[in-house]
Amino acid sequence: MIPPVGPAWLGAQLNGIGPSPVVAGAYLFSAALLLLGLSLRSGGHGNRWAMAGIVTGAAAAVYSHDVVNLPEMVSVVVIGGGIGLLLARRSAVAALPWLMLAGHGLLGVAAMAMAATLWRNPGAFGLAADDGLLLTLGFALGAMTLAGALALAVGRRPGGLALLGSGAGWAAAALGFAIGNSAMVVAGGMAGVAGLRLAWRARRIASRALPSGAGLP
Amino acid sequence: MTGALALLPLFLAACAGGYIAARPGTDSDRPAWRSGTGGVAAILFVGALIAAAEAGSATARYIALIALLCASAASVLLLGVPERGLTPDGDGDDGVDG
Repeated sequence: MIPPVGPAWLGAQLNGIGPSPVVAGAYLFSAALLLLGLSLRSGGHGNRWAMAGIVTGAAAAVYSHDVVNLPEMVSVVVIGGGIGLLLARRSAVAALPWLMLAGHGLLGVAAMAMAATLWRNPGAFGLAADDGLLLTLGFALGAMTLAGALALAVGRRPGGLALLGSGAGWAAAALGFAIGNSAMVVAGGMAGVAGLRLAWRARRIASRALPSGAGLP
Repeated sequence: MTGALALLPLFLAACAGGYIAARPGTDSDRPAWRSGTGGVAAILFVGALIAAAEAGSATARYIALIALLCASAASVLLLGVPERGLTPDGDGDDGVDG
């Protein structure tokens, strides 16, 4: 049975309460900025559009929820963002691919922790019993992303960062489905499919042009 | 689950958009680690924010803060590292294939 189309499918719906049009529009605008960033990645500034999309989505998330622990959240974001900024700006150029690996691994940990949070507190997010499948899927995809990043880091098998981005995207989409967040569903689906296609293309190119065993430095 | 089914059309449209965005020929001169998929996947930061904002029990709150810490660091890394200016001879693939 096809569910009725309403404002709930344009944004977060918690405890049966649909989002305001402003919040739903902000989530869709965020998703559009992320799509623009992914499309313009060859232009050199795609990531800046993606940054704008993430900031828009974060602002809509904070605006649309009763945040009870804002000081802790701000502190954690400042600490995590500061560490990331320090690493991104001060690291040697040769270490940049490894930093991307670390970033994907951290995304996997974040997906696992978010799924665990939703599992521990289903009432706050209006989760039903059958949403457990989505939480399990999100947790498993986060664990696979982390495991893939670790496997790439120790060099035991060749692989691709695009595939890791795809795994993190699918995890975001599964968790977005669970909490009914359209920005996460749209961005996760985009990253998942784009990562799979890029990884598939790179695999075909590598099988034609590169000797076997090409992988991490 | 009804909400999840309601989001399905949007999800399918996004999948089509991602497939088109990753079309061949748009990033032939860029290494795989600068492809941008990780930056889009950093939308998990928004989910971590929501989880931390709504977490009720103390345990759930701490786990959500861990998610937020990891997601914020990952977002800055995945969005900031590809923006780093590279030396002319270092603009190739550093060995990480995609």
